[in-house]
Amino acid sequence: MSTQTSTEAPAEAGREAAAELKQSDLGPIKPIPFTSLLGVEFRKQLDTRSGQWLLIAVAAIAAIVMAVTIFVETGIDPAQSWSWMTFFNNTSQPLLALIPIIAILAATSEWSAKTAMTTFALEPRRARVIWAKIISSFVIGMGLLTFIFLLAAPMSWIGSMVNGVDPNFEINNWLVMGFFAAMAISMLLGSAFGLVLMNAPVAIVSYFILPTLLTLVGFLITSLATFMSWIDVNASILPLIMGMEPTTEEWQKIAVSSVIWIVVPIALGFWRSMKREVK
Amino acid sequence: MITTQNLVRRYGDFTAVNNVSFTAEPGRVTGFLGPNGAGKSTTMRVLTGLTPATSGSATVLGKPFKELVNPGRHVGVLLDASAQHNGRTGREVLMISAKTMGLPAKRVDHMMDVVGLTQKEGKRRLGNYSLGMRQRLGLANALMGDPRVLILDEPANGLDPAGIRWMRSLLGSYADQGGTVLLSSHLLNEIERIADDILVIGNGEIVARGTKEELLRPNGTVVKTPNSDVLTEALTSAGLAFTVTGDGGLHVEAEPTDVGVLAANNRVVLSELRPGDNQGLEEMFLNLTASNARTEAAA
Repeated sequence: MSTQTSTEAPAEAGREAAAELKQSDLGPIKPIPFTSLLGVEFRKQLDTRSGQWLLIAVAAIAAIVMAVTIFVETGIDPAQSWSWMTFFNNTSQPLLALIPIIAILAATSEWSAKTAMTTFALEPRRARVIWAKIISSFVIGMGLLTFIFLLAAPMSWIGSMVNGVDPNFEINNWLVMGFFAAMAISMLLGSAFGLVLMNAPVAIVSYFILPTLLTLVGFLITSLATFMSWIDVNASILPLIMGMEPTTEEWQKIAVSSVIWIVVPIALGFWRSMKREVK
Repeated sequence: MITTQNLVRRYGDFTAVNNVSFTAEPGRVTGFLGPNGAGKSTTMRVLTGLTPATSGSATVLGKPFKELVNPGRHVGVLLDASAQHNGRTGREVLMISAKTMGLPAKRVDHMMDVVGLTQKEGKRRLGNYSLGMRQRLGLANALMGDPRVLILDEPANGLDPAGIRWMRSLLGSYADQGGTVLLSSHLLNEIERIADDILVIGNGEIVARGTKEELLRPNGTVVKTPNSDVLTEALTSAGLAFTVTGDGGLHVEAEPTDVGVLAANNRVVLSELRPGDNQGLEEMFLNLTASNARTEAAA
């Protein structure tokens, strides 16, 4: 008797489960709004272990840099050592390199983790999902930089108090705007590399190595130096974070290199993602 | 309802799916049976818009998958239970699908209940899930939008016997409520237990189809007797075809009752009398598997 009950139990549980499914009314079936996809892509970038470690790394680097800035006097201009802009500049520099990895992971993880099978079965219009990825990682990058910008102010005040100097909250418009522009370009670069290469390690390594390699080529082959300065995006965005208005030629180089490294790979990435078989 | 018509998918010279046409009816569990590499998964990926067809058409609920509005609310899909991010928790995986489909968080908890995952298990990351747990999670994911059609690739993989039994009755009841279920397996007896209709695929082509009763209908009668001379004579004079099987029995092409009556009339003692195994389906399936195994060995 008891054996019969135990072998029947799973079958009974299965029937109950099916009956339970029918009990809930989920309401009318509505199209998926783009805002839902955007919200989901936000979640996906922050709910994995790698996403969470990246955020921890960002927080740790910000904490270390700000702590060091409080206690170290920069020799060039002692009056500027603990200004708001100094804290913002010092912290933003390393994070400008790190934060775009969020965009790379967002663009590649569907393929690396094979979650594309679930994602594209729920939203077969793949372009919408990809736009949601690009936009959400862009917003995360800008949000983190905003957070650093705001955090730099009280840290600067603490630094000034510790070192007994007058607080300096003067804003350098070109430095702030330049960092935000550089972050915007870098996030899009991350998305572009991720979308076209579709593999996280390959995209991360290429993101860091490829532009540097080009710089090296320009350095070694002097006849190519001028040409390289137009396509080397790493070098071209440097004037943005110098705290001064870039020259016309610098702006042109920013535009040209961005088109080459952002627009072309993103377009290619869309094309690959549309065509690629999901398995 | 799922319909494919002359579906073809080629990879260069290799034809993975060749001219496949079938219909999976509502209210029935349709089993897609074939050895590994026969084209089951490719067909299912084409059905769900994940792989483009080379030619032919595939529709779910009368439309190409890509034209369904909020497809998760119409079609539950589970093609690979291990295709999830290992760094995400089980509950989070379901949350992502719920948010995409526009469903509330309480639906997620409900679905975990339905498939028997505890809240504690839901908080664990997928990297720590067994294949059986991943299958349950995948099934929860597929059922979440209350779909009318289920497309499941090898859903019994990794489930323990109780789990398989549970899933069988769940899918059976789901079909009884009017749902369409298409599921694949490379195991004949698994399909035999779960499916109402069976499609057999080999080397990309449908090689057999029908209801389970049709395909698994007993084939003749197996009979054993100590005095086979008398019986064979009686069979011959009654005009019944038979073959001598390896273990000294006879395989007769007639119903067991007829053979029994014939034996009684001729006062033949029988030591065994039973319906014959369905050699047809099993043999065909074994041949498919064997030819596939040869290819694998050669590769």
